[in-house]
Amino acid sequence: MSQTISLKKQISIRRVLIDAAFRTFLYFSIFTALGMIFWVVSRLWSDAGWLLSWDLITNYPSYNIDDAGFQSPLVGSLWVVGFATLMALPTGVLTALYLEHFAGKSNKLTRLIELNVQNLAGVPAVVFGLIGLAFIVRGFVKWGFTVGSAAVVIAMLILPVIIIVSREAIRSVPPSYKEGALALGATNWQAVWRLVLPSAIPGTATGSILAISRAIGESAPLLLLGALSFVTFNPTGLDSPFTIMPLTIFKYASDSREEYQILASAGSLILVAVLFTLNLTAILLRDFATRKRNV
Amino acid sequence: MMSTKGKAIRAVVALFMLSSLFTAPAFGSAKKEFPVVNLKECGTRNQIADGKDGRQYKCSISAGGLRWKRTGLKAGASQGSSASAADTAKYANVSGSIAIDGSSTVGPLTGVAAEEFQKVSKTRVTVGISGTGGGATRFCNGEIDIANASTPYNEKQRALCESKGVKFTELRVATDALTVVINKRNNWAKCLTVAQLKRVWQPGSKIQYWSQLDRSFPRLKMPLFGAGTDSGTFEYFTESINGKPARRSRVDYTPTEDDNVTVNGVKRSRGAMGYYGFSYWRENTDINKALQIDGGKGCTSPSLEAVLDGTYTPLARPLLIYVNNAKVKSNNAIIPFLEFYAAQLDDLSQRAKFLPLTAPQKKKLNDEIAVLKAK
Repeated sequence: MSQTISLKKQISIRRVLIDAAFRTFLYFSIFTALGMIFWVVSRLWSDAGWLLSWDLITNYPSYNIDDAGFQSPLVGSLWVVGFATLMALPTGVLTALYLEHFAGKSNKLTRLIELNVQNLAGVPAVVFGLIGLAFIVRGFVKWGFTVGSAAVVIAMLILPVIIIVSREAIRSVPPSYKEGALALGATNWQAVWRLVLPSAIPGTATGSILAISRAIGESAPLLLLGALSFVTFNPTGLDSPFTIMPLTIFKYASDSREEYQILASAGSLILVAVLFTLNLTAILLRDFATRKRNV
Repeated sequence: MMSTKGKAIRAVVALFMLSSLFTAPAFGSAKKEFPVVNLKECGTRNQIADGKDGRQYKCSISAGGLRWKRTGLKAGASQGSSASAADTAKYANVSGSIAIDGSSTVGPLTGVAAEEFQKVSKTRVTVGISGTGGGATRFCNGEIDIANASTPYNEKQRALCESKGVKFTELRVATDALTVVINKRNNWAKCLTVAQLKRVWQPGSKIQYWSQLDRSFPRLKMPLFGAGTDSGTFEYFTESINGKPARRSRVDYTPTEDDNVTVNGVKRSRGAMGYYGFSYWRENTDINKALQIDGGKGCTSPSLEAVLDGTYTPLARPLLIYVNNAKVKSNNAIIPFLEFYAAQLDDLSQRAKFLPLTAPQKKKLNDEIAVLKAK
């Protein structure tokens, strides 16, 4: 009898300990993650928070540091990422739908596509830049160092990620939804388009937001596409030359003069703010879409 | 129960993030310094004010906050742009776009010209900084109208342009000198001969410590910073120090296309040595120390006079732009841009901190632009 009691006691103490240890670990993890963000933003803020004003956004880059702003790189970044999203999002989601609901499961072609998509997601960004330089800027397409070329390259970069997360989201929709619809006489297309796809929107949106956030901070491939330039006008079309925020920040940050490094910090704060706004908008839109559906 | 707990955690996280927004400013105490002279608080960038000392001040970005800095002008002087009213009228109807790329050394000069030119005309000018070599490739591909170069194109680059059918005109726009720099706390080296520099920089050089270069120097590690292999600075330095053919150099140094990396690297290490353009050094005289160079005629420090009268050998060089002849015909914006560039050159080179052309050099430049125009 006494033995069982001590055993019970031991188990419960162990459980409590493990529970506490794990809890501490989780708190530590979240604290580290938030702490890093806090640290980076507060560093930037202490370097350049006092400099933030609207003229940083309304002015163009300049060799006179007191006139310098970030308008053309900011607009350039939005153009590139905007068009990349327009290209990659529909293509990616439709590819995911095809792979999940239309392609034969054991088809060799399907497996080849799957393998390729997974490989592409792991290819370093700069490789896409080189491909873009060889085939889109020069090569066959000859689009030159333009917003269009950059958008295509960024689209290629985020496409595999969008396909993979969309597939996960689509797969997580219970099969009974579709089976029910099919049993009631809907065609495969109707079931997928009206039931599966809308139910998968939240998951797809989350993944796509992550992919787009990555794209707006991407600099390596665009370095090869002529984005490291002094450009004092906004893009006016896909054929327009451009520059982007990360590379303008890089240009300022690598300058030896301290004032330019402050300008780089201010640019980073703007980039973080833009990223935050974009993410927030996307999350609100997603929640709105989900709620509307659930009503 | 769970949901309230979840809410509590979420609230804590949200509070944490919110508090980060409010506490962060406390770190960046916005020091708005009151100026040396009787000026009001410096609140907005680019604000101009006259000091009681008869000088003009501008509210300018500096470490830690906005500060009043001398503009170099007397009180009451107008801070006009370099372009005159006549220019504004002359170029007002010029439109089109010009693509420029090339040397990061010439970049600031052409960049300031482009910035000013876009203010008086309707053109759109882009200035890339992919290095003389990178610029040459794009130029010979016909992708750009004008290429910046910090060293004349070599046989290979000329052959590349020829094979692509690109005919060009070479224009000298300024003079530059390379400066070999050392750390401010380096109190042993004042002057090195070209032969000594060669011993340091030649391919396969075994010199790791200053004492290996000269017995009287301390045994201190010598970290080296230099130009990346794509830059004209690299080509020019290797050719003038290590001899022809150019582009031969030891490889165990920190190469960079961006001279500022060298400035900072040399600043951080007491034994460091590096080289970059004279213009960059004039902006960083308080950060890096220049070595005197003995090119056979005694020690010479890099100075405007020494560079222009040719005594600072062998590290002074012309800065060039290459213009695609065919593009001049098809793009009406190029000639006005070149004329503007040439007319403003003194002011531009002062602002970009280059050495201006001498009178005969200027005349040659204007003549060559006139020839281009007539073609």
